[in-house]
Amino acid sequence: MKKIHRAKLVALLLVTAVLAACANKEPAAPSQPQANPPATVNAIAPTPAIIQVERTVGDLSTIGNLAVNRGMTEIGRECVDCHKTENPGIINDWKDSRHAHASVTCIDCHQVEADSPMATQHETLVGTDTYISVLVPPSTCARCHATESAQFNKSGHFRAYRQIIPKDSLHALVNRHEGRDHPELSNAPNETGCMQCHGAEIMLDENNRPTSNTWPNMGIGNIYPDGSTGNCSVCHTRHKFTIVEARKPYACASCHLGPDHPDIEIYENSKHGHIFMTDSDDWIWDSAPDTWEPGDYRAPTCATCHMSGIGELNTTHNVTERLYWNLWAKRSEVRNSTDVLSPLLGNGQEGREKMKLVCNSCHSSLHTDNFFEQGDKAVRLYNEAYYDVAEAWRAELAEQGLLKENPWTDEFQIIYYYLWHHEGRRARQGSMMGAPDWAHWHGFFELQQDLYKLEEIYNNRMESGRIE
Amino acid sequence: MTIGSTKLKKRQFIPLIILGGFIAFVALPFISWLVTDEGITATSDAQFCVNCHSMEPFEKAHNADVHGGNNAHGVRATCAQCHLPHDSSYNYIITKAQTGIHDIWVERFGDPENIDWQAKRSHREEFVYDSGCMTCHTNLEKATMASNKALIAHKPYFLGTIEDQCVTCHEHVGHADLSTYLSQD
Repeated sequence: MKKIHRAKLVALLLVTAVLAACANKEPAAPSQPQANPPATVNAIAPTPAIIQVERTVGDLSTIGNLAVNRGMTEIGRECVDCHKTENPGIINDWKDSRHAHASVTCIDCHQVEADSPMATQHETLVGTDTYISVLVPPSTCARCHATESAQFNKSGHFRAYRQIIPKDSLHALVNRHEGRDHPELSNAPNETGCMQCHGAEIMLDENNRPTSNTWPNMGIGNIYPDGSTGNCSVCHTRHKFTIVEARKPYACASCHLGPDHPDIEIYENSKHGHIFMTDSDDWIWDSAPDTWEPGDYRAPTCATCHMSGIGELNTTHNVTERLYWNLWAKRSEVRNSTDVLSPLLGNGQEGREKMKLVCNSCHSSLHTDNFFEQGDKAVRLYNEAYYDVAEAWRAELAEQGLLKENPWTDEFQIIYYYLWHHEGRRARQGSMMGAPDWAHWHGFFELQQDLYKLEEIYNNRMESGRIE
Repeated sequence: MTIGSTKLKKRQFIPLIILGGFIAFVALPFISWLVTDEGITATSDAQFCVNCHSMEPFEKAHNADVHGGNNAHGVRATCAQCHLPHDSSYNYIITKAQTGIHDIWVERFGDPENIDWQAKRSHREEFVYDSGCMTCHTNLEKATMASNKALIAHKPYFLGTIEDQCVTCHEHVGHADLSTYLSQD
């Protein structure tokens, strides 16, 4: 009895909502009001499920009266009808998206098979054969964006989480040293730090819901319960998924920043960033893929050089494709591997030629060639005059037993780490992306200081035969 | 006598030759076509395939699926319509013979109880053929913006810019809730 009363109440509320929606209908769609009320009522009324929702935020948006019925399935309409008041932010994003234009709705991405490890049903779905998941793995995006997905799967981004799985020293740093081996809390630095850029293997609880130690996260290398790897919404954030956003440097900046790879700071320091910050407000950001060319913009963003179909190049979601060096490794080498898990993934020679094509869209070939000669010189100087020297000292100290077991209490190993992981990357990446302050003051200046300190510690330990 | 007798024999042979020709060029080809076609049809769907008991969960999941007839029109795709190539009759027959012999061998002499069927789903592209899908879904390539999901989603496939096959994206097609049926078994 109670159920029937509730169902009646819900139906009454929905009819009222639909009528209200019709009353507020924009004049732009004059044929819609007649078609709408019966369609929406028919879609909802026969559904026996009971909607039990604790409203938390109320209607904060302009979309509370949104009644949409264009190229959508019944169930797609149902999602929008509830979530427009439950999570107006989500529906508000979606209504501005190209997905909404193409009639791609909530259920098209969130529906899963009944036998999926991620299959769940909320109260309005119980009793139906529709199952959903809060997780949308990249394999779902790939159903329509297959080319982009295939390119991503060959890129360095694919490796973002997988590469840290076997690194014991990294797990020790995060759990033992940063997490203090705390019985309950030691994973906090990972959950709030590493995982939010690198991703995680997303685990599910007994209700097929993702666990808090692996989700939510904004990591690009997630492994989802269906086995697929990646996370499209890192750069194309939910639920608008706009190409405009991904073309702006901020899409990359939430991970490519800070002392160890200050790529957004490097960009801001470069003339490209200077021009972007001066007058990008009226640039054209939404040209179709492969048609976004100089003229739409005066200076490139990260996406322009690393991904866009500029000139004769094709658009790519393989961010490794146009790279020559590996600029994040301890020692930079020319890329020469087809193994997606290799740090040297890519073809350096081809990558350089492609990147030069990008540059030549705006620069003379002399300008381009000379620029890369300058940058290559800096990378080689770091390799030969800093890393090789420091590594030789480290290897000799290790052989003599003159390194502490805990590297994070050993002055030599700490400075050595800074030399390659912080200062060395800043010098190399600053040089290769036109950022003089990062190449010099945060780069080579710091590097020579590191090297002198390492030399002194090395000499002391070798002469005294003991760790100070 | 010899000549006469030979002539007589020749005369006797004429109906035999006609009969022989009929059998060789009409009756035998007809019978062999009949037997082959009947044979192929009889061995193309679940009634035959489920003779191998390891196929039972697949049959159940197929029956529960849109492709198994669980749809408004009752249209049903047979096992062979998806699991054999349809690009040429030669390919069809050869693949049918190869997979048939392999499957019977494994069912009889192998260890079908301990096959990890779930793992095999990850290389489904090797045993589900696009040429089979396209035999029925003939209009997909002609999709227009009237069905924009069909158009947009399949554009890279028909342009040939991706290597994906139908089942790469439609990974659960053909067998509804297969994991559940496999775990029940």
